[in-house]
Amino acid sequence: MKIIYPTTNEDGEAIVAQIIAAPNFLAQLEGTEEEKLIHIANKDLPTGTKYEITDAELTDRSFRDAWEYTAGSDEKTSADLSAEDLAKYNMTENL
Amino acid sequence: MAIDKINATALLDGGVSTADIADDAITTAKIADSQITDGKIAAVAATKLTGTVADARFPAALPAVSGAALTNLPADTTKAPLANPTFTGTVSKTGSSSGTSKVFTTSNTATENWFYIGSSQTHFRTQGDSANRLTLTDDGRGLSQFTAKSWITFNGQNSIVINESHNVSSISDIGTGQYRVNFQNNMANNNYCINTHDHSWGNGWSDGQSTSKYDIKRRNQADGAYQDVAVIWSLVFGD
Repeated sequence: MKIIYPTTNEDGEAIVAQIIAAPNFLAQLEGTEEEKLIHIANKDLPTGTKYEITDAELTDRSFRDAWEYTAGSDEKTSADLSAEDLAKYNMTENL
Repeated sequence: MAIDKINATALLDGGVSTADIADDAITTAKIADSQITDGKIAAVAATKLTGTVADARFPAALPAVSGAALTNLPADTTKAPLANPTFTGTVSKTGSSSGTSKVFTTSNTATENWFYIGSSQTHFRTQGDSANRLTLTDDGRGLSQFTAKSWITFNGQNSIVINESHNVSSISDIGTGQYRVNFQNNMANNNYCINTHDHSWGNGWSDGQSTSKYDIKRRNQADGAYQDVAVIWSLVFGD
């Protein structure tokens, strides 16, 4: 599973980005795979970013920059990390 | 009737010799107090030294005793010798607050030892210097000016896969040939050094550097267009 979220490229055009979790970081987290990815979304996405967790195989990159993000029923919003997590990851504030 | 007084001249040999005194005839009561002087005492058996000897009888400092003279001392199995100690078990350290932690443990073989770092951090410092030259964290990071703060190898083509990494929580695919490395633990500032290379004919650079992430851009050398790359190596040194 991976995280996809809408963002913009250098020209300000809307594109889709995907987050691939580092396996050894995932191994340190607790919970289901989805819970782990939610943790990563909260950590690595700016607070308030809309995103989805998907099983989609995004292997065809022929038109990579033409991908479009459509909000689904499982869309989530990245949240603030807890004070405990902020201290743990040496983060003084969210992105 | 006891003899009250006698003149020595009245004795046949003119005086009193030891032969004239019967064995065991001199009793304590016949010796005045303070009349036995040091010169009259040849030796005292140690068994006669009983009871409490006043502190004043001892010198303020004991005379120096050669270690070579200290023989037949009982072995203290709780103490390691100062020279060439041999440890066969686990050496532990008691903290100033509470608890005891292992410092190292000898293994069953002669070629291995296990050294234990603290459950939070272990610092290496020079004498007289409070700065940490190297800190080992319990999550496996080595923090110093000479250890990599983060590194990653990943496949940037097709289904993007992180092969190996250290202190990386994730990468973001933010477009063709454009990747964002998100640190697991943030850097202290933005003045860190990034070195990135790839397995292609392309070229590239890094930007978007912050304490929490940096971006990797790879381009085709021929036309300058962004290009996905199969193998990318990137590492970071800094604070």
